[in-house]
Amino acid sequence: MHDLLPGGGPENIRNLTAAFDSLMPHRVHDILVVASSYDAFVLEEGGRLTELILNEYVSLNLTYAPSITRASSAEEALKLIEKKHFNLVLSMLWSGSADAFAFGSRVKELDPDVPVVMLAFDAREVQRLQLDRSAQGYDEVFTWSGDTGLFLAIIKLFEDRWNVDHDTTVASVRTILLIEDSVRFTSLYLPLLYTELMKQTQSLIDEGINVTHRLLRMRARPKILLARTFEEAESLYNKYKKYMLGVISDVRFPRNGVPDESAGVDFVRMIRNEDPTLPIVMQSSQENGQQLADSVNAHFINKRSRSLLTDLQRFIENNFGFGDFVFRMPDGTPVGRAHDLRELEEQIKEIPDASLEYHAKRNDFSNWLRARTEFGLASLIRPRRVSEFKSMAELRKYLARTFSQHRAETQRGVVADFSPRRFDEESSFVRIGRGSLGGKGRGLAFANHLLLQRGMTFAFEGVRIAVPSTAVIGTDVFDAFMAQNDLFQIAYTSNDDREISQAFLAARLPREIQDDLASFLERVDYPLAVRSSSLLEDSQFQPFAGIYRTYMVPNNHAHPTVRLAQLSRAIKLVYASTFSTASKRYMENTPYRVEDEKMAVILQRLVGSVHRDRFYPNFSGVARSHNFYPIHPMRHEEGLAVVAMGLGRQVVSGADALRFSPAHPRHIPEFGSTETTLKASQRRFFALDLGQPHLMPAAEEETNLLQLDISEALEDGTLEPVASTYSPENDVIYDGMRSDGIPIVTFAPILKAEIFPLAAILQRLLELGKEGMGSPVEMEFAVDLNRDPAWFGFLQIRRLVVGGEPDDVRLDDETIEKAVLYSKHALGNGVVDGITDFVYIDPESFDSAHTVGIAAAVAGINQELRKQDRPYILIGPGRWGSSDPWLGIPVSWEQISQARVIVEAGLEGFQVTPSQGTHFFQNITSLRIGYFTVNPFRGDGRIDWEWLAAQPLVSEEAGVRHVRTSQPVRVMVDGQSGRGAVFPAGTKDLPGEEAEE
Amino acid sequence: MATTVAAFMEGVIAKNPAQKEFHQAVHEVVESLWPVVEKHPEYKKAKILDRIVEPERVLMFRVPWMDDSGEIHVNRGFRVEFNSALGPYKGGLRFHPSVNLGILKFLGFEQVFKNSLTTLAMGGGKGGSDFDPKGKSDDEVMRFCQSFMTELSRHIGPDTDVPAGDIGVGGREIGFLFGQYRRIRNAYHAGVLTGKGLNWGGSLIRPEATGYGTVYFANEMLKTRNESFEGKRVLISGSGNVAQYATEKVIELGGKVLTLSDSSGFIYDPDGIDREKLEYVFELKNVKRGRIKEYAEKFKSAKYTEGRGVWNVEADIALPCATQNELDENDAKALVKNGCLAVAEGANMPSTPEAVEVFLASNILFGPGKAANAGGVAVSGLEMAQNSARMPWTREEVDAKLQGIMKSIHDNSRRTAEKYSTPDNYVDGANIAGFLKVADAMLDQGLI
Repeated sequence: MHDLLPGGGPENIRNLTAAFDSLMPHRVHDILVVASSYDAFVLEEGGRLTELILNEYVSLNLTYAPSITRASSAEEALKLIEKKHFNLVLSMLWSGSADAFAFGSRVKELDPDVPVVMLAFDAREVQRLQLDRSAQGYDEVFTWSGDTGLFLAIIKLFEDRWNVDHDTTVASVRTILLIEDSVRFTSLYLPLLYTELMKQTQSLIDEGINVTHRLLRMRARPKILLARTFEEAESLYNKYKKYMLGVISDVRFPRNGVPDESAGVDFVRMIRNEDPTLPIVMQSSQENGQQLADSVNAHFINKRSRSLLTDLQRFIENNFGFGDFVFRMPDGTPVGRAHDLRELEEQIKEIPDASLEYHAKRNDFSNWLRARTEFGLASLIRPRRVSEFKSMAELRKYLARTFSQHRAETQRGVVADFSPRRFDEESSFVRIGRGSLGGKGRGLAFANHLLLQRGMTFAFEGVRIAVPSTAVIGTDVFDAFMAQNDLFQIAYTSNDDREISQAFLAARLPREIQDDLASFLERVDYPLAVRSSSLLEDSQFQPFAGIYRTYMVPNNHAHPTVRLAQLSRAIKLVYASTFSTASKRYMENTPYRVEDEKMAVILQRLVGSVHRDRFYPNFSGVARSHNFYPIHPMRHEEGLAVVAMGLGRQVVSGADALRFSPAHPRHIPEFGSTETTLKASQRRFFALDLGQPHLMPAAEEETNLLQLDISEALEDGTLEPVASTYSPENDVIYDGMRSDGIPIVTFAPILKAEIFPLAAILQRLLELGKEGMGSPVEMEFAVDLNRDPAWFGFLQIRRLVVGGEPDDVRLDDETIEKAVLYSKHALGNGVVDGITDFVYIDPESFDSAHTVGIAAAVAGINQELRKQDRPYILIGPGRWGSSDPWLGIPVSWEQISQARVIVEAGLEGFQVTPSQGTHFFQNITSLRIGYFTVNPFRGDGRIDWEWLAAQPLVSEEAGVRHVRTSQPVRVMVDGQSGRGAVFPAGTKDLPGEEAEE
Repeated sequence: MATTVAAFMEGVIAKNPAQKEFHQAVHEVVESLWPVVEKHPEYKKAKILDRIVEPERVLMFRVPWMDDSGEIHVNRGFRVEFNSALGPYKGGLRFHPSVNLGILKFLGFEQVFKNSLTTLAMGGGKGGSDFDPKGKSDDEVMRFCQSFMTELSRHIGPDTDVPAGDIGVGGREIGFLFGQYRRIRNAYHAGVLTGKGLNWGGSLIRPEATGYGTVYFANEMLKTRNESFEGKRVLISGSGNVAQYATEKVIELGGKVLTLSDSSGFIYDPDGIDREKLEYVFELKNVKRGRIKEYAEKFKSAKYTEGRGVWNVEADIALPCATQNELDENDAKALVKNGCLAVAEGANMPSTPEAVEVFLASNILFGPGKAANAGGVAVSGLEMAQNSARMPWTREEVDAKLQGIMKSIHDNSRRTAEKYSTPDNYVDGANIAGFLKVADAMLDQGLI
C-alpha cells in the first residue's frame, strides 16, 4: 500500500479543510486504486496527475485533495474495503483476468454503496464488460489508454453526480449534459471536457487573486452530467434544465433498451420546443450527421474530425481558474511573475528586496505553495520569520536553496521539463514541449523511476544501471506540427510512404521546439537514437512493435546547424511513420483509427563507445520474464534473454543472437555441440557509422547503420568479452580468446566466467519489472563495458501478453488426437471459431532457396483475404518473419496481418528455433494470434497434410496453397499446457461442449 | 548354417527382436556377401556369418549423474564390442536421446568392415548413451562423462577397446572422458581414446583427412587408366572441411577445381579456384561462416547459381563432398554424358542408389564413400599408432601415411573386385574386401 500523491499526506490536507466546504458536500476523499505499480506510475506520469488533481482540488477551492490508496491485487483491495469505507474504487486490474471480472460484485458485497469503476486496457474486453456491467458490480466502465486526464475526470464525474442536486439548489451551479453510450468515446470526451473546463478556469484566475473570487469561480464551475440512454438524458434534462449550459449529444443511442438512430434528433427536438437557444452539439460518425443536426438547429461535430476539440472549446465558455505567483512591490506594482516552483526560485534571486520582504511577511510564498499542494515545502518555510535573517540577501539565499533542494528531491525519477541549464547529459529524463510521453516514453519514465526508487543504480559492483539520458518530445508538439503545416489531409489519405515522408520533411517543426532542440544539442555531443513513442505504442494489447521508425543520428558534424537539421529531419521522419502504409494496415487490426494516434519522439543517448569511425555497445539484448519455450532445466517463469554483440538491431530483426535463461546462463541449448555452436553463433553485428557526419537521415532508416563482420570487432578489441575460440584441429570450442583458433561469439566470458554479472542483473530487473507492472514484462538493454563502471543501459520496458484469460480450455492427449493439426508448443489461449481458410506452404515442393518468392505469394493472398475480412490459418516451415531468408519465410508483419493462427512447421532438415526476441514475435503474442510450433518428425505435434491437400483449392502459386474448408474449423489453445489444436467441423466431444444426446 | 539369406535373416530377427536398424544393416551386408560365402565352404563350415553378426560382448550400464540444481538423473550407457579379430575394438561413442542397443549394434556392425577396409589393425565397436548434451552446462556434461567413464574404464584400454567421438561426443567430451579414465586407472594410456586435443595426444591432419583421402583415392583410380589430376577439370560440391581440403589437394596435384556449393546454390569459376581463391574460401567458410554465394561477389570470374545444378557442369572428375543424396540419377547421367572420368565420394552416401546404378553401368570410375572417405577413420588409427610409439608425427608424416592407407584401400578394393566381381566395381570390391579380412582373421584364430 502506498500513498500515490507525494507531499499530500492526509494530515496536511486536513488542516486546510474547513472553510469552503459548503459548496461541494460530497467529495471523493478516499480513493482506492487497484493497480500494479506501473499503472500507478503511468497515472502519475512524472507528476502530471498530481499537478492536475491539485490544481483543481487545492489551488481552486483551497480545501483538500483526495487521498489515494493503492492496492496491487484484488485480494489486497478487498481486505482494505473490509476495514474502511472508500468513496470510489477504481479497478485497473488486467480486465482479462478472472479476478477483475468478479471484483466488482465482490466489492459490492462488502460495501454496497461504494461506486466501482473499471478501467479496461483492451477495447475488446470492454464490450464484454459493458454488456452487463451492473451485474458485475461495476458502476462505470472506461477504456484506459494512458491518458491521466481520465482518472481525474472519473473522480469529478462522480462528485458532480453527487453534488449536482445540492450545488444547483444552493448556488445555481451550471451543468453540461453529455449523452454518449460508447465507452470508448466517453473515455475520450470526459477528460477532454474537464481539461477544457480547467483551462478556461486557469486562464482567468490571475486577476482575481482573492479567496472570494476563487470561490465564485469555483461555484460557477459547471457540472458534467453523463447520460447513457434516452431515458437518463430526459430525466437529467428535466431536472436540471434551469442550470443547463449546453448539451453534447450523440445521434444514436439506446431508447427503450435498444439503440435508436433517431434518439438524438428526437431528444434535441424536445429541448428545442422549450429552449430554442440552448447551445447543443450533436456528434456522430454518421455521414448524414450534419444534416440531422441542422434540422434541429444544433452544432455538429464529426466524431472522426479533428476539430472536435476546437468546437468544444468554443462551446464551453466559462471563467474559472487561478494562476501564477505575481511579485509585487509594497505599492502593488508587479515586478515579476512565476508560473511554477522553478520560476519562483529563479525570480526570488532577482526581485527587489522590498518585494521579497513584502511577500515574505505576508506569508505569500507558503500560501502560494499550499495552493500548489507543496504542503511539505510550505510547512518548512512558514514558521521562519523574516526577522530571523540577518539580511534580505540571506533570506533570498535560504529560500532559493530550500526550493532548489526540494525540487531536486522531488525530481528524482520524475519527468522534468527540459531546460538547457539543468540538463544532465549523463542521466536525465526530460520532456520537451507538452503533451503525453507516448507509450514507449511512459515505459522509459517508469523504468527510470523504478531504478532510482529501488536503488538499482549501483546495486551491482562495477556496474551502473541507468536509463540513458532521454528527452521526450511530447505529443502536443506533434499536434502543433501537424496543424501548423496542414498535414492531416495527406497523412490520412495518402497511401504512398514516399509522398508522406516528403511532405513531412518539407514541413517545419514548431518554432519553440526548434529553439529547445538547438539548446539541447548544445549540451549533447553524443550519438542519439530518435525513437517513436506513440500514444498506442507499447500498450499491452497494441504494441505496434517495429511499426514506427527509429533513426540513429551520429550527431558529430562540426556545425550545430547541420546537427540540428539532421535531428529535425529524423524527428519529422518519425512523425511521418505514424501514417505509413504499414502502420495504417496494422491499425486495421486494432480497435483504433489512425486519427486516434499521436506521436511523441524520444531522443535517447545511444549506449556504446566510439571504435575507430563507428559507434556501438559491446552488446544489446531483449529480456522477457516469460519463456515460451523452456527446455529443461528452464521454466516458463524464469524468463529468457536474447543478446547479441553491437546494436540491438541484430536482436530485434531476428538475426543470429544468443538465447539464454537468466536463471541458467550456462545452459545454452543452441550450443549443445561444436557444430551447432558454429551454426548458431553470431557472425555479424550492427554499428553506427560515424564516418559520414554530413549524412542526412533518409526515409530508409538504415543509411548510417553498418553491418560488420565480427572480425572487425576483433580489430576494435571489443570481441574479447563475448568470445570463445574454435579450434579446427581439435574440433573444440574453448572459452575465451586463444591465439590458435577462430574467434566466435558465445558470451562465455560473461555467462560462464562472469566477467560482467549480466544474468544476475537481468534476473533482478525482470523481477522488479514484473512486480512493478503487475504482469510479465519485456525489456531492452545495451551494455558498454568500455566505461568504468561498466554501463548497463536500460532502454525499454513494456508489458508482455502471456495468456491466462478466463476462457478455460483444457486439451488432453485423447482430444488432440482428433485434430488435423496440433502442437505441444502453442502460444495463446482460448477458442477461435469461424475460420475456413488455410494458407500453407506445400512441404513437398518447399525449397529454402525460394522463401522470398513464397513471402510475396503469401502477402498477395493475405491482401485478398483482408479485403474479404476472412481470417485464416497460416502454415509454413521455419521461422516466420525471419529477416534471414534461409531461416524461414521473410514476411513482414503486415504481409500476414490477417492470419489468426500461425503454424511454424519444422521440416526434416529445416528446423529453426523460434525467435523470441523479435518485434515480430511480440506482435504475434500481443495481438493474441495463435502461434503453433510443430515438428512432426520429432514426434512433436502433427499436421495432416493429406487432409489439407484434400480441401477445395482456392489458389496455388509459388508453392503456396490456399484452401477453403466447406465448414469452419475450431481452433483451441490450452494456455496452461501450451497445447493447441485445429479440429475439423463436426469433431465430437470437444472440451467445453455439452455432450449431445 | 541357413541356406538362404531369408532363412538366415529369420534367425537374426528371432534372436534380436525389436532391433530394426540392426536387422537392416545385417540384411544389406549378408545379401551382398552371400555369393562370396557360397564360394567359400570353409566360411560356411566355420559359421563365420553366424558368428560375425553376434557382438563379442555387449555392455549396458547405469549412468547416474547430478545436474547443476542437485537433481539426480539416470541414463543408460552402452558399449558394443563387436569384433576384435583385427585389433582392439574401435568405434565412436554417441550421446543422443535416440541411442538404444539396436542402433549401436547396427553402427558397430558396420564399423567392423569400415575399419577392416583401412587395412589398419582395428576391430569394430560402438557405444554411447541416451544422454542429450543439448541444453546442458559444461559442468553437467563433465559430471555425466565422468560417471559414464567410471564404469566404462573397466572395459576399455589401448589394447582392448579404443572409443572415439561421434554425435554428441566432440573434443570437449573426449577430454572429460580421458581425464576420468586416467584418474581411475592411474595410467596415461593416451591410446585409449582417439580424437584427443592436439597437445595431449591428438594427431595432426584430422580436419584435412577425409578431403585429402578422397583425392588420394580418386588419384589411385585414375592411375589405373594411366590418368592423373594434372590438368583435369574437377567438380566439387559442398564447402565444408571435406570440400575445402579436397580442393586444396586437387590444386596440389595440378587439377582445376571449378565448383563449390552450399545448401543454397553453387559457384562455378571457369578460371578454376587457385590457392589464393581457396584462402578466401577458408576465410569465408571457417572464419566468417558466410555463404558460398559471396565467392562470386568477390571473384568476378565466378558465377553463382541458386539451387542444384553443380553436376551439370562439364568436367573430368566429380567429388561429391556435400551431403547425403545430393547426386541423383539425372545428375549421374549428366556426368556420364559430359564424359566424366571418375567420381569419388567424399561425403557419406552422396549418390542415390539409382545414381550408383548409372555409374556402375557406365565406364566411369566410381569410388564409393565407404572406401573413398575412409581417411577420417584412418587418421584415428594413425592417432593410436602415434600414441603407442609415444611420438607425434609431423603433418608431412601423417599425410604420407594417409596417402599410403588410401592406396592400400584402393588396391585392396580393386583386387577384391577383380576376384569376386568386375575389375572396376569398387562398390563390390570395398564391401567384400572389408569382410574377407575379418573373416579370414576369424578363421585363423579358431573358434572363439
